[in-house]
Amino acid sequence: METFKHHYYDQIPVPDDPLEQVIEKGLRRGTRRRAMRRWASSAATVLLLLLVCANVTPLYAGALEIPVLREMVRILRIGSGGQVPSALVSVQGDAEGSTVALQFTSPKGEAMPVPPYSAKRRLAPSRVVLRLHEIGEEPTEQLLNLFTSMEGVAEAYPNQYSTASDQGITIVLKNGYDCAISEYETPGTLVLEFSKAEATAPQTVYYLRSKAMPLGSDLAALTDRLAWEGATQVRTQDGKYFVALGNYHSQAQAEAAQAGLEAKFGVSLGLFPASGSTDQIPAE
Amino acid sequence: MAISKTEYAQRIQSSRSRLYRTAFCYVKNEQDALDIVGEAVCKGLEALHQLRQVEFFDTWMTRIVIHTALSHLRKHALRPENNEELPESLPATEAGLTPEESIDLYQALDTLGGSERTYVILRFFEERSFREMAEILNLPEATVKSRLYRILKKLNHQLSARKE
Repeated sequence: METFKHHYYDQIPVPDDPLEQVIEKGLRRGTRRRAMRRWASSAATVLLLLLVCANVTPLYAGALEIPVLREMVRILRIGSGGQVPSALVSVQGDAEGSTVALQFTSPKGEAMPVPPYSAKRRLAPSRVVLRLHEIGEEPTEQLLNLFTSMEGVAEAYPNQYSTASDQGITIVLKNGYDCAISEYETPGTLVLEFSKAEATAPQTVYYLRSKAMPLGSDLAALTDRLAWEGATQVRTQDGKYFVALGNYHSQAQAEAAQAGLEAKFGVSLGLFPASGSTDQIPAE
Repeated sequence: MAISKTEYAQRIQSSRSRLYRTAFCYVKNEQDALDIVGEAVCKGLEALHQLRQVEFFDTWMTRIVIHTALSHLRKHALRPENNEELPESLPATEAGLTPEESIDLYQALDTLGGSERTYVILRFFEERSFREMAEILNLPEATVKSRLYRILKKLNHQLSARKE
């Protein structure tokens, strides 16, 4: 019976996206309930204070000035968030321990809320694709270096999209590491934490890919054309990029996806089935 | 409070697969397991001030998932569907347990009450030690052992009866 874990428990398929959503909803619901309870408790305390210390006005006048610390809006591994800013924003980063914090400022240097963003996870290689909208400038080398300074990160590189104000960063994770993204407001901050995950053996994943090409307009156009299919960009060991689609269990599944894609678009987009390991950067 | 809300969320993220699988063992269908995890995450956050030591986060959170699953079973009077959502293929024989026996035992598990199921899930599905089980169930280790053996005896009868 000791093999039960292997035979059954470890084989239970985990629905990643729906699980992510219920966790986020659970956290939001819990936050609301906690706030309600605190509010009820505070209201009772204030009432008591008013009754007991009615003449000591500085006491509760001071209590109103307690600063509110930045509040977490959401935490996710994949998904989206943020809000549309009134103008394009700049992004600055700061690394500490196992986290990188991104903050956003207006052209005047004022702190801005987190702009719209999305995060995707892909497996070959294991990576996080962070796409930020409404950004005024490309991610700097300094920003990318913040990510590569993390223990759990193998490499980080920019992505290119057709929309000039969309900026993307792909963060390739080392085997056995995961990334969680927390969004805060006041000031708007995205915190990416790279932590050790449940240990798993590297696995082979199948996907569809384009031929390798330089980072540029062709790559951006193909990525955007396949945006609804979940296209991402992968940098090869020799510094070129290709567009990748899907994480499939087998070559047959990848071939079926290729046929479905060609039927949908009515033409071949030059994508072909390929495979790779979760812990290896493709050679070419 | 032993950990902040942010740290809580991060710990939940890193143990989400295990929490889901534990919930799934009780209800054996995806939607109910997701509901249980969502509710447990919410309850955990509400009760975060009760967690005194961060080292016990895992056992504390597992306890919340178990209580939520048992409450879910009671509320919905669920009888898990035996043949739904089994892994598509079970691995070949290993250490004397054939896939067929695994399925038998898996199905026999449904005949146990919710709290009895907890002992089997913790011990054989999650491979918890008796000490960890005692912490999660908040019982003396000896009690956990004796209850588990009693449950195994009962399961054994179920399996024998099926084979006959």
